[in-house]
Amino acid sequence: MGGRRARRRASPPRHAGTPELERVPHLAAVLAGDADGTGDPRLAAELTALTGLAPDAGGVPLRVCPVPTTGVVEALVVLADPRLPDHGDLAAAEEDLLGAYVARAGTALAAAALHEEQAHLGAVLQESLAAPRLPETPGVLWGAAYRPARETLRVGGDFYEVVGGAGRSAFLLGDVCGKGIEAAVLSGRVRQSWHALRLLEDRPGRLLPLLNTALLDAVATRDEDPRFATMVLGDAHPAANGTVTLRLASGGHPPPLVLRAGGEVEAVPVAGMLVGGIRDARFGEAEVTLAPGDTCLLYSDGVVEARGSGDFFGEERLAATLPRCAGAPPAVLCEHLEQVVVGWLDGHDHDDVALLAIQAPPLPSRPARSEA
Amino acid sequence: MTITDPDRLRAAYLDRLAASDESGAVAVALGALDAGVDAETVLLDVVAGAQREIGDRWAAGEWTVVQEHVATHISERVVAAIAQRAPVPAPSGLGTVAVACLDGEWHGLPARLLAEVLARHGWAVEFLGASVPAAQLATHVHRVGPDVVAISSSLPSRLPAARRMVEACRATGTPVLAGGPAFGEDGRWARAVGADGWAPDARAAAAMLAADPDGPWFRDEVTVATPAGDRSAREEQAVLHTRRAELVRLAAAAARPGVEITAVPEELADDLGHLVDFLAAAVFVDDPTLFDGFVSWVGSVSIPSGLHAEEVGPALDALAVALADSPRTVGLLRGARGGLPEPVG
Repeated sequence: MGGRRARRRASPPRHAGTPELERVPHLAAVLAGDADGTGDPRLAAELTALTGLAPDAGGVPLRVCPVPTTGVVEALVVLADPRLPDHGDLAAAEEDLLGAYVARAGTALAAAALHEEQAHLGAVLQESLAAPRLPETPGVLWGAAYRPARETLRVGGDFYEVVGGAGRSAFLLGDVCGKGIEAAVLSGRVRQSWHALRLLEDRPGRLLPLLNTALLDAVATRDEDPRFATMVLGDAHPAANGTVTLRLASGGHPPPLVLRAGGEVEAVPVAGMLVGGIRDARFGEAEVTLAPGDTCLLYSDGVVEARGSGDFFGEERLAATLPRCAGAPPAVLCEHLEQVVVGWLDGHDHDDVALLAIQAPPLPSRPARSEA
Repeated sequence: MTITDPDRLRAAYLDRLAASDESGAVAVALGALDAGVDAETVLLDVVAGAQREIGDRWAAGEWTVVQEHVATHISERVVAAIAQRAPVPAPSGLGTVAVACLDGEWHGLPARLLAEVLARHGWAVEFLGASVPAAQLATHVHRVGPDVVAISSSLPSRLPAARRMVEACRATGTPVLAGGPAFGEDGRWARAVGADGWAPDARAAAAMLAADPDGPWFRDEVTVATPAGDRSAREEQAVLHTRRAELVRLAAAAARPGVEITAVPEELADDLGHLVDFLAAAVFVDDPTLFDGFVSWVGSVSIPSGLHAEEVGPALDALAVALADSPRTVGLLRGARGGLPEPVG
């Protein structure tokens, strides 16, 4: 129970009562270093109440020994032993043993506190990099899925962003080279740069070279090794007739797939060089019109490179999986694909997986139904 | 005229789900709220009830997986709309519950509904979502320190994952309440994986937590004869896990002779994968009824291209031959084989 109590201290009190320390002023004084406490009967009474260890009839066989720590944890060891004569005087050997025990306990507690701080750091980073909420936009439906590689710190190098706007909505999906915390930090840089630059330049074919330059400049000012990213970015523009026009630009990324309402799958022929590699990089551009019920899928290479017991998942299987989702909402398409890919992995480790689907809403008169 | 009777509401709601009509489904749910039906009834008797019916339709081969996903997606949106129309009150200081689905459990809606219901009973609720890896749960429990962890699953094949999650919580002394059909009709497998209690549904979970917020909820006169995950059970389960892909191929070749390995339909491979997973779970909790139940179920559903009733026997035989070194596993396979109906004619 000790662990549980200590853990509770960090979280708000539940079955609410007065804070524990207020009820034990003498113990609080020892913890704060304001008193020694050894042999103090008032402290002994508090400790007796706290620990349930009854003092023997003759006196106060309790000894309190503060645990030296780095200051992050406050702790003390309470000894209660009816055999102790003279109010807790210990033989020299026992005194040594207690000293060694207390020192080690202090180290362990300090390490645990440090770990907690690091976990908190990771959590803050993770929250800042977490997959964003998708906007509600008139005339365009969005769906996404994000599954970071199997690490305890659930941050990764894949990313997507969507910002709804009046008339046009901007989106981005990409993948930075590398793994773990370095990749996560770079993906944060790409996303922030995109958020700022798209306010100044909304044409995807112009925006991507600007992003390329921004990433190269950031690397140049820091003596960092160059790091590359691949991405597709663009915007979606719904028209009054129910269609959605997409403008796309791509650098080094797998081509987006279009799933027509009737189930046909087309790859959008758009390619380009890696982003953040060289200054004069050339990027591809394309324009796609989605009719009602058509969906455009952007995905990271973690999808096609997912490898289970045998083969890679691959573009062909991806294209073969899509038709059964024809007409389904984009969120369902992404969720279904994620499940198929995870099933394919069969418990094996994988790279980050990111999916973003953009759909022109199906016409209400013909509700979307899919047949096996 | 507004409907307030839960059964009629559920029928109307199902009708909208069948038409993939999101706004219609939202209208049924919000209409009920506006007519005075309380949110818990709408969540559990209308939405959850309809979702159960959909599961039956899928099992009967009437609905495809994607149709089921679309309906579930709509229900998720309905749950969000209900939360907006009838907001959850502020936590009343009871404590914090973390709600998570087992790793590999993709049906997140039942857990989401539990989270909504517990929040309406005054708990602060952290909903971790579908398919939560045990490592992620361990991190959460250490960092946030919930008072109770509620785990949910519909598939008994996820029980080994449940054990890992229970162990993740045990390290901090956080009690675990299990829920959902994965743990057996009477929750017997919840006990077997080391959970501190089991609730058949969200209402029961709320009642149990209200009566005793700290657990354990199992009254421990009953001790498990062979605790799950003893060494040999774990070893045999690990063998099944490691050889899963190979076993699926062997079983496919036996079940449908003459079909090329590369041409095995996805539905057949899925069914055989589940067969191996249920076998592993049955070995893990040492309970033949878990595997027998799945075998009789898989023989009764009609998924086109999936495992057919007459193919079950040959698949079981092939597995028994391949797993001859695992005595418990072979015992379960033989037992299930013996329970199959005699081939007609």
